[in-house]
Amino acid sequence: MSLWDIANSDCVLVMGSNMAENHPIGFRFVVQAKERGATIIHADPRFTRTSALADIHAPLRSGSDIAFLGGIIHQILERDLWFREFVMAYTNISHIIEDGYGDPEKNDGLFSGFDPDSGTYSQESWQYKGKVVPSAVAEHRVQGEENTGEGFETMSDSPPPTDPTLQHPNCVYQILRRHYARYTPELVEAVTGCPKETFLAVVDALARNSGRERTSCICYAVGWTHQSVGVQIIRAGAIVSALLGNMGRPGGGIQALRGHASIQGSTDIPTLYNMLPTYLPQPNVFHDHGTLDRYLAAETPATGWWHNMPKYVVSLLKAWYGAEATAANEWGYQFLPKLTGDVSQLPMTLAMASGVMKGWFILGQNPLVGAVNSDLLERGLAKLEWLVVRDMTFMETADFWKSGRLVKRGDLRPSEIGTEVFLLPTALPGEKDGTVTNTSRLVQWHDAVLEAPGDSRSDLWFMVHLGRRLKELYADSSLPRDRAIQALTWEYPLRGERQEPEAEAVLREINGYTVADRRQVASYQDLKDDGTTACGAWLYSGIYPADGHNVARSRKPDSPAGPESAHLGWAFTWPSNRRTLYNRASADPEGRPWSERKKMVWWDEAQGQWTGYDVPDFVADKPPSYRPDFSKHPKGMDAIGGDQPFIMQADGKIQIFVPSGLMDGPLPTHYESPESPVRNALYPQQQHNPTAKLWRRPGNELHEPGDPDYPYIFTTYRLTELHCGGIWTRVSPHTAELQPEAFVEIPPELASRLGIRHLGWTVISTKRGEIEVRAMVTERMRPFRIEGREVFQIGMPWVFGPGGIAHGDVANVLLAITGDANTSIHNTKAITCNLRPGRLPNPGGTSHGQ
Amino acid sequence: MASEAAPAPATSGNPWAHPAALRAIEALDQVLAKRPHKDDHLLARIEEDLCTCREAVLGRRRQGMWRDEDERRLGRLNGVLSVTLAIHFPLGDVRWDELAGARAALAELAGVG
Repeated sequence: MSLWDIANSDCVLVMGSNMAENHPIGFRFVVQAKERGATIIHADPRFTRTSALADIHAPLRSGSDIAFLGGIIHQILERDLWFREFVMAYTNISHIIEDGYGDPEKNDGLFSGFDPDSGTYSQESWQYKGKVVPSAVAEHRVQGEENTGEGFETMSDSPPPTDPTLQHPNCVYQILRRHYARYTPELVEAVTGCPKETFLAVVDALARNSGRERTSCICYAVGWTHQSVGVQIIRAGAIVSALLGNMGRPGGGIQALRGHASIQGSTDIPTLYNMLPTYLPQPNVFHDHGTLDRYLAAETPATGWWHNMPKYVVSLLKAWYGAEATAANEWGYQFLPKLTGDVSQLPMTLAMASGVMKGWFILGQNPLVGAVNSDLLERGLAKLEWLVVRDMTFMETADFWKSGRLVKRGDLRPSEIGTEVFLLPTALPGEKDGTVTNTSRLVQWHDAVLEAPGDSRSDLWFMVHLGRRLKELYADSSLPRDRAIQALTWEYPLRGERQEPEAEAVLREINGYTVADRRQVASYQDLKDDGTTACGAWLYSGIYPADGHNVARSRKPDSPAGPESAHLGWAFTWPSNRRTLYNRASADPEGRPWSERKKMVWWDEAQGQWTGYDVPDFVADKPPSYRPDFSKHPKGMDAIGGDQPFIMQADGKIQIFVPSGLMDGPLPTHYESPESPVRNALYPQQQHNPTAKLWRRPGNELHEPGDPDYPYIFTTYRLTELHCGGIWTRVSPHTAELQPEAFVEIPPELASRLGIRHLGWTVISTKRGEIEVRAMVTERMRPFRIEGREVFQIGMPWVFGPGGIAHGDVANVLLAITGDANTSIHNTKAITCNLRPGRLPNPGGTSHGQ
Repeated sequence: MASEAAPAPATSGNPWAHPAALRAIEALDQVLAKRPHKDDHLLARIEEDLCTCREAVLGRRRQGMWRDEDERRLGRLNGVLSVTLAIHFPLGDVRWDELAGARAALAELAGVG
């Protein structure tokens, strides 16, 4: 959904985000919704400015989100609050799952298919009966090769088996009811600490504001994702949204609040290791990816929109390798590096500490402050041969060899650190052309308005000229491994004395063009798999559809209501400038809006096409009455009926139950965080996510559940006044003075118990390290009543470091390197710690590292 | 690297039979014996030893003690390191057979059979 579409919501649940403080621009739409009468809910451990503007603040203990959301699912099902027509038509609630499926309720907290030795799941028993269902998410597919192309053909043989009466014991509805049967309001209160009455008020508000006439939305940020079950928390929110019939509708659905610094863009055209641009799976050396044909055969779903994947892959290869990509050499497929394992940031931080990495480029980050387990990371930095840091000022990571925590303490000596550090000054946003993509998949162009001073250059300048120099260096090489660099197209026009690359040329390449005459393609529907088209990122196609037409630059102000309410003239949203994904679901199965009040896209019988306020997310002329003829084994969109809006899924349905792709189960399940002061009340034999990525080694030890030495929950967050990692704002006096020093927020009850005074010094410790920080004793933090006893939580902004004007100890010293099973994202929201009044004997604190 | 590792001892007749490589082989045997349990601590130690070995042989290259055959062997050593990382940080199933192959390749490099 669009950020501004939140204003059309009748109920907004903000959870896993302090939206008012960390997404203040987007929060204006929450305020607009409230002014129109919407109910605003904030579910969060802390009472923040977001809570202050909400109608309901539901406090819950960090790490208990799935218990809370599972409780909502339970209430929706047992009180029959679901939008039955929507759910029956558009979700897999009636699908029948394989006989062998086993639920955690009967398997001591584990789904069927778990291998205790490897700690991984086989997903065979989670499939639709008799089917092999492809995951719509490339990131899932690169993690395993259990389900591949040959099996996907089963989706083309017949539709998945269903029981519209919902009586079959293995239909999703019955499984869902059994799975969440124990997530009662009483259990929610016992596990999360949220009072039962408050929890039920949340359920009632969501249910009251969902259905034909009303819609609710859920906004989340890293408060959900930075956990060991981050993906499953999002899944739980999506199930709530699906059951209430909010997906694809105005003011409805899930709003992923993305980071300010083009975080969505860095996922789309990825800095991620496991995906090619716009969600194509990176080939894996251990999978059946030896040739392009085999890779495409293994990864291309038989049904649904993803059946077009070969067009996007071949067009990408043509964009990257140009004339060097031919049919004879598989369009350059062998130039692509193949994955061997998880080489995301967390594992590579561990590998760096082992000496594996030789060098590191750091652009737009300050990992010595922003990455977990700072001490282990600092040890790794000291083992590098070279470190390139690009930023607008000196900051902790570039300065580690002189001012690092371990250096100050004498654990590392500058004379023994051989890392050569290059700090390169960068241009600021106003000093460079380019785009930012963040929340809502909105791609906005910005122009340089002044020239960067001195040697400061844009990141585009750096990358383009680095590429040019690498190509020069390898030009004469005869080694096969250097062919990829030699073959790479790298012909970006350079302008002026500084030889600044033309950013729009990159955007034109991203959009795509016909190879023969280099004309821009209008959309991804024009892409081919025969080498006649090139496209740098298929989902962005349409952003530059003709020479001189940069849609991301578009700035048409229009009305907040009616036909202009989608604001199609403001910048570009992928795909196809469509603001609401799956908006076919805003109409009923027959193509009529669910209600006049909530109309967005509908079928125009006279014109024989879909129309509405937004760009329809469907085959433009496919009527609602279309039904696939499975006797002909239909492929691609031919297998998707006119009443199946969720076209990226193999059968066009929302997956309430996920048969393939997720590493930790087909349904969200409450597990405690790997570090927690309490036992798992639902599954005593399965304390934490059994597939969470835990890497135990010296310097990265974890606390055992209920460890009396680390009895308090610790969470981290940002501050409005210190932007992103804080670099720019901590060095600027006028912003630094707004948050001059690091602090830890402590509930008064705990402060009293420990003898901690407001603004007094405290020491926070974990097995990873200790830091000292001043106390902010505040009722914003409150004790939780869990298992009949008080459980305390404290919280600290992670944006402070020793550098700059506003400074303080680094919160991330305390955190361990652990990862979500699906994404390898770290857990910054729910760990345990100890707390005491006083200061550390040595400046800079201590660590318990190697 | 911060501190350059000493060149591999040549007295053994095989400069690739570096003590770190021999330690890594021993640790690989321990890791393989524990399968399917994955010992993260041991794998981290193996990575450190393989890197020490790599630095040592690169030291020989810097000193001009390098043959064409060494370039191929360096590629194999990097391959062993890559597979070790793949087992330490797997995507999906742990490829124990690949690790066994890597152990054999390292043993061949070090000439210990």
